[in-house]
Amino acid sequence: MFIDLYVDDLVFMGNDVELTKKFKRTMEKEFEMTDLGHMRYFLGLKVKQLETGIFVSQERYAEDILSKFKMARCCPVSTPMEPDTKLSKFDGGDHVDANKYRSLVGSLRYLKSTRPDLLLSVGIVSRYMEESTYTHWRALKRILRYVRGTTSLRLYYTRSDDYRLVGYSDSDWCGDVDYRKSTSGYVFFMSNTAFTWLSKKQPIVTLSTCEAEYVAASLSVCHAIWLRNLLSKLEMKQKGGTVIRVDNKSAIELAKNPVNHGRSKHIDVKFHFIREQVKEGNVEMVHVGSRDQIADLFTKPLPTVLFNNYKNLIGMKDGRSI
Amino acid sequence: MASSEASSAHDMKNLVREETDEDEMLLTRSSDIELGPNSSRNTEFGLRVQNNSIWYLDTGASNHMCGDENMFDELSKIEARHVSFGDASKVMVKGRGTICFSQKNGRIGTIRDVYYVPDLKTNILSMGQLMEKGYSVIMKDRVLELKHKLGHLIARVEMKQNRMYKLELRCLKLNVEDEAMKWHFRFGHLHFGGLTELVQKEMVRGLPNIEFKKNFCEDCVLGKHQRASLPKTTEYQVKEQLGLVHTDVCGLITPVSFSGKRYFLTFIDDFSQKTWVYCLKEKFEVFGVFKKFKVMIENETCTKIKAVRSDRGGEYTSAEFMRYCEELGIRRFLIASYSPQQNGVAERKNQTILNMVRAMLKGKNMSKEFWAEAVQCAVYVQNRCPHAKLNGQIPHEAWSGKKPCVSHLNVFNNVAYAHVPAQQRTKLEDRSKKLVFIGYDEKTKGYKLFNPVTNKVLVSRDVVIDEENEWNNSAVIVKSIATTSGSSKTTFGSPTSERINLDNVPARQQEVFDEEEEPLQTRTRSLQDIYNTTNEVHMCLLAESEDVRFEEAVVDEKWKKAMDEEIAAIERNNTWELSDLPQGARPIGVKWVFKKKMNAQGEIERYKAQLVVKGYRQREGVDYAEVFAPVTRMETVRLLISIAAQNKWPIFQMDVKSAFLNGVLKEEVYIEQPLGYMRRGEEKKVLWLKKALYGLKQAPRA
Repeated sequence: MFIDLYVDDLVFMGNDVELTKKFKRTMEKEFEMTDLGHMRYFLGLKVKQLETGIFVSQERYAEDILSKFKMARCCPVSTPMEPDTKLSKFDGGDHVDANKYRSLVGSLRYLKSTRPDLLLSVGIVSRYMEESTYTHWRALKRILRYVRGTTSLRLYYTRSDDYRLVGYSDSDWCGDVDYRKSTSGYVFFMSNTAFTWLSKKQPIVTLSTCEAEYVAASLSVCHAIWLRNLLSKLEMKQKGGTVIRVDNKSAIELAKNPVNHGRSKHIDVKFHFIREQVKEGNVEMVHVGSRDQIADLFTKPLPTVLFNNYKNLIGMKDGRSI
Repeated sequence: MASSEASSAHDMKNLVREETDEDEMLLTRSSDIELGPNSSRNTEFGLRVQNNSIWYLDTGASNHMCGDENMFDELSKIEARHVSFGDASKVMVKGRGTICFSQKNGRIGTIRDVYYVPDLKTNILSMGQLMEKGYSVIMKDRVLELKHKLGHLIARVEMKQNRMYKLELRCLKLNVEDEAMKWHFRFGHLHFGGLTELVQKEMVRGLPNIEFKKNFCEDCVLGKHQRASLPKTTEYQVKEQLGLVHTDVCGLITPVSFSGKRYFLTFIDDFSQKTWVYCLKEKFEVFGVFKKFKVMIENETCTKIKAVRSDRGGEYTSAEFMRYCEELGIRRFLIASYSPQQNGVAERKNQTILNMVRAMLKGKNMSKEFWAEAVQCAVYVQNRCPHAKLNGQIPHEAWSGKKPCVSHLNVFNNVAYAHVPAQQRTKLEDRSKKLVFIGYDEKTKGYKLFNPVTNKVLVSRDVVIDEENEWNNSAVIVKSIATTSGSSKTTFGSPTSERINLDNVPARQQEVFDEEEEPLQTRTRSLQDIYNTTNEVHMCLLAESEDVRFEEAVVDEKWKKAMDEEIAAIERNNTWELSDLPQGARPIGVKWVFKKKMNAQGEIERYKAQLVVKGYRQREGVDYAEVFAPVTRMETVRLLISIAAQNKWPIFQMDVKSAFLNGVLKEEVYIEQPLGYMRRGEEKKVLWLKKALYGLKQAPRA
């Protein structure tokens, strides 16, 4: 039985029906608690439990954001950010109301809890919270227009017997025009739906795509280790190494062969943490074609077709089509 | 005048060296001697150009000479004169004139009879000529002193290295050739007609009797440019229907109409002055409406629209609009920028319509959202009103050739009773319903009526109008809200529900909705709107905490009971124990907070009194150590959901009732006894907290 506690809200589940009932009774006796039955709303997430699987969405929250920012009737678009958008700190235009900008970014950041498709674009606009100009505000508005068209999009967790953790790691190169830093992204799957993801500007400037991918991979390896620990505590210990799919062959080689190469000798020691983990068999780096690299979604703005494809792969379904 | 010159002489520019014992020093010459009595110019003109020039004082020169034409104030051409130089060369003298220069005291001096010798590069002042005028020149100790005939010093010049006497003058040149222009300037750029009048009627003395021709003066244009007057009649006269259509968009009109319309678009046929009006939500709809209008009107009349006059709004000058007109051969008359007068017909129409609308709405206390209906109604009426351009005709007749009947006209917002068809009622039901008259339907021969209860528009021809009474509009809205909030299932009280649907009555077949002004069927209003328009009880939904003071509460039975309950609950939970205050400890204050709990209908459900600790008085390390609360990561939540889905486990949720806290305190915290619940005889004692109370820093952990 698993119990998840958030201050005074708690959710629990278990394979033993008797045990859960007993737990409920004990809790009610010990503290004055209300039994809310099946989990429906938790921390703003709407959870819908069906025979076939579980939906998690923030539809209401998304609509609230739209109406709060008076975008409830805007024209929807198919992607949150135009491909090849390059925002810069020094983008011209008037300064916009910082409070409004930050409030909107903050609202969208919480929306990311069930909307990995927004991860990258919200991440990018939140880099310009300090001195936001009209250009950034327009990018932000576009995200809202995208949200408007996709409020019913939700995560769909289905039944399966496959407890294997699989990760995808990817990076763009020099996506940030101001500092020439790259953006790394990863996503982890159990069965068919992603449950943890990240899109982050790398802390260092890298000299090659290989290095950027390597830095991204090391981030995802760290996360994989944490997840493996968490899962083993939940008595779902992963057998064998966790597969991390990378679309850069040289990065994989770099992780496998502990030799210093002319072009990789400058790479910081901490990123070589990955080598040790590969050697110990905790993680396994596997090559994947660029077309199937789902983590691409978290590193650069994509055109509609690719974007929708990855959205499907990540396990997002439109609530209206079900 | 001489004395005034002398008084300011010490700061003159041409003063080479100032002598303290002799302050009567002037320039080379003073103006009053040289000038005739008529031209005592002691005011400086605005339009003078200054250029500094060097003059040499020369005893060997017969005349003053200057080589720069621009330095002359007045110059008259003379011919056949020559100047001979030392090398026996001769140069031509082109003219003779006067040079003006400025003195440091602001006056203007003149040098008369200066020859204009174009070949000369330097300027020469002839001493002989000066002496002829009565000046005296004393040359002594390398210094030349020029003295006035009255004896005061005009200039003192020191001999330069090359044994020359050099004098620097600031020459002035008046930029006017013409005397007329000069007087134009002097009169502060008075127009030339005014100057002519001054001279002809001899209104002033001293103004020369010259002809003041109209000259171009740039300063006058820049300073006085006025807008061009507009012609009273247009050049483009039309003799047939649709020869010219005037159009304009009027808006933005606030508040928006019930169906969200914000603008209205008018088309006026120039020949008949008949008007058509369309209400719009956005300006870009203009093009679509124009196409619709064109097809409709051309079908009706069998002639084509020849020309369209509009302003330069983006909706009229868009590429698609222009191309459309080009393809169909419609002439476009656009106005010059910022000249809405050129679109006068349409602009005047807007004014007439809006005047009528304001009067109609005001006259019957209608809410402003009805403006779109009122505009339609106003245009309908105006097509049946006389027009200045039409001789004894009304627009409707000029357009269709028929005199219309107006016996059916009604007052806007009158109460109207519409007959209920027999099919829709039982024997004993009312045969009529009470509605509001809001206009005339163009499609059917009937009245447009508004049902304020269901918020719908219907068209009926069986109508009895009550001319006396008007519908009280504000009462209507309150009523409709009251009926809705009672019966609808919307979560009225929850703060997240922002809209309520006013309409919960199924649509009836008979009711026909107007195309222009959409039915009010699916109208929604925000809660805030409702609060603004009504003074109903719902207001208290917004109130969170009551501003009740303890002194007031303790005498109120309801609050007293609530406090008793709270104390009882706390004691049942073994939250505290009465004890003595240990040495060095400091008790923390407590406070009562009073709240009224509302139910969804906005009625008071429960009075709640809560005892809170003034946690801000706690000191870190003494009264509390850590303040964080257990929280979970979003990722973990999703992971658990994922695991549950894979295993098909149901997920349950529980919520801790927040009545009181269960955390056992590690630290020793003492609080004061709550007001109103002091133990008699033990007032000095304090309460030792075993469990957390609200307000404590430890509360989130408990």
